[in-house]
Amino acid sequence: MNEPRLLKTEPSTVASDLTDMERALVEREVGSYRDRNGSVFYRDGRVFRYLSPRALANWQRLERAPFFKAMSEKGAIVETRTVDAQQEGFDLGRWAAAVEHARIPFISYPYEWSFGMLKDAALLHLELMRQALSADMILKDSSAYNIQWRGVNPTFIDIPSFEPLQQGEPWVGYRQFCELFLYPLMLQAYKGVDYRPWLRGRIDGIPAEEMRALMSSRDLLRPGVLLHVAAQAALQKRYSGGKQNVRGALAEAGFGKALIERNVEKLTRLVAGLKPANTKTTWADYDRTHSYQEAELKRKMEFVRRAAATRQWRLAWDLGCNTGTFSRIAAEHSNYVVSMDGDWMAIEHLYQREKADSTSTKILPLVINLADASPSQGWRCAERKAITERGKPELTLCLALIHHIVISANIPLADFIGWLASLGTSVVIEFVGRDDEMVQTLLANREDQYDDYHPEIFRELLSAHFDIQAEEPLKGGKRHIYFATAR
Amino acid sequence: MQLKFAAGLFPLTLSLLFVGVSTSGAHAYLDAGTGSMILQVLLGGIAGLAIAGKLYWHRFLTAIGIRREAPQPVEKEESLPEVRADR
Repeated sequence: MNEPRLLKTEPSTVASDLTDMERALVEREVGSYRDRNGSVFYRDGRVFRYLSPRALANWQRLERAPFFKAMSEKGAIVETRTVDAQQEGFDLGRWAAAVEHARIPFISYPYEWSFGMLKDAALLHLELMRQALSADMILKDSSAYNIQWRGVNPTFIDIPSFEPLQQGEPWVGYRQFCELFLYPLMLQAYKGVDYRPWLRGRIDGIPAEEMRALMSSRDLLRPGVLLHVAAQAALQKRYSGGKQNVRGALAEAGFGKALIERNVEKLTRLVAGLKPANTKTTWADYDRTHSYQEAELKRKMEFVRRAAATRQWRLAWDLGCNTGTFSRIAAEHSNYVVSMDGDWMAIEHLYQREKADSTSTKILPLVINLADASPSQGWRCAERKAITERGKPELTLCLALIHHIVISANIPLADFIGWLASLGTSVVIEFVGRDDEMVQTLLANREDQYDDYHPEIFRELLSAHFDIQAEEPLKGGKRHIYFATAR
Repeated sequence: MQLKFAAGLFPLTLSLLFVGVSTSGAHAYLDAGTGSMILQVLLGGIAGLAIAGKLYWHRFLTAIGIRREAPQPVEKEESLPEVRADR
C-alpha cells in the first residue's frame, strides 16, 4: 500500500482559510461525472476523489513514476495522496479507494483565460503527455478544464487521466486537444477572433467541421491548418457513423508510441509558435493612458493600501483590474486575489507581468466582463459554476469601474451596490463624477438617462448597505474614493 | 481553389486505407473519433508511413484472397481481482 504523504499546501489553500459554512459542507462535485473511474467530492473544505479499482491500479503506478513526483513537486500536477477511507469515515461502496487533492484557491475556466494562459495550459498538457509517454503512460483525455491555476502557475488536476499506454492504442484525447486547446488558440492567432465566447458557448469546444468552415483557402497554408483542421474535418465527415473499428486496425498495423510522441512534439512546436492577432484593445495601454497625474495616482494607491492593510483578507476581488496595479497592493494583505477585467489584453499584460515575477503566487488574472459574467452551465446547470459560486470575496476593489457599470452597461446604481452587499464583502470603491472627462466621453453619444448617477445618491446607497470607514476626494473632487466594510 | 481541392483530396486518399477494416476496440469514456484516429497515422511522420504501407498491404492481400479479414484480437482486461487483493 502507498505511504501517505503529507500534502504540501499553499497558505491560501489550507482548510483554516475557509469560512465555517464552507467547512461544514459535504458535497459531490456535479461536474465530475464523465469518467466512471472516479468521482470528486468535498468535505470540511477538503477535496477528495473516489477511485474505481482500475483507477486505483493506475494511481499506484503513477505515484511510483519519477516524472509524476518531479512534476508534483514543481506544482505542475496537483499534490495528491491516498487517504485511509476508514479513518476519514468514508463509505467506499463500489469504490476501491479515495485520494485527497490539494485545494485550488479559485476555480477558473478556459473561457476566462487570456491567450497566454490558454497557450501555457496547452503547453503544460503536451509536456505531461510527453513525460507520461516516456513512462509508458498516457493522458486518456485532453480537457482544458483539467488544468487549473495557482496564481499564474498552471497545474493539472485530473489524476485518473493518467493511464498505462496500451499496445497499439492511438492518442484518444487528440481530437479533444484540438477542440479545446488548439482550435481556440488558432482562432485568435489566425483570425483575430476572441475564442472565449466559443468556449463558453459549447462545453466540448470547437468541432473540426466548424473550425474548417472558418478557415479560408489562405488559412490552409498557415501552420497546422491543413492537417489538424482540414484533414481532420474531412476524415471525420467521411467516417461519421461508420462501423469500422479503426482502433483495432491501427493496433494490428503496428501503431505505436513513436507516432504519438511525434504528434505531441510537433503540436508543441505549433502551439509555442502561435501569437495572438488583433492585440490593440481599448484598455491594453491603460497604465500609460489613464487619466491620473502621478501625485494623484500615488494618493489613490496609498488609500487602497491603508484600506487593504486593516486586516488579512482570505479572498480579494479586483473588478475592472486593468493591468493589475491595485491587485498587487491588495495581494500584500490577502491570501489570494482574483483580478477580473473584460479586456483580454489588459489581462494578458497582467498575466505576462506576473509570470515574469517568480515570487508571484497570489494573483489570478481572469477575463470577465462583469455585465456578462460567466454563468452556471453544463449538466444540471452546475457543471461549470457562475463566478459567484466559486468563493465569495472578503474584499472587493471597484476602482474606476462604476461609470462603466452604470453608464456603459446600463446597470442601475442601486442594483450594483446591492449586488456587492449580497456578496458579504468589504469594498474599496471609487465614484467617478459627472465632470470627469472619462464620464463625459461615455455620455458624449448617448442619452443621459442616468438620474441615479450622482455622488450624493451613491454615498446614500453605500451607507445604506455598508459601514463607511474612510473616504477621500481625488482629482480635485472629480472623483471620490471610499473604504466601506460589510455590515 | 486548387488548394481547396488538394486539401479535400488527400484525406480521401488516406481514408481508402480503412475501407472495410473491422476489429474490436478498447475501452475509454471518450470517443476518439474515427477520422481523428486515422489522421494520427499521417501525423506520425515516417513511422506513420510504414503503418500506412502495412494497411495497404493488408488490404491488397485481402483483396486478392490470400488473406481473410483480420480476426478479432483478444482484448486485455485489467486484472481486477489482484487490485482488490492489494487493498
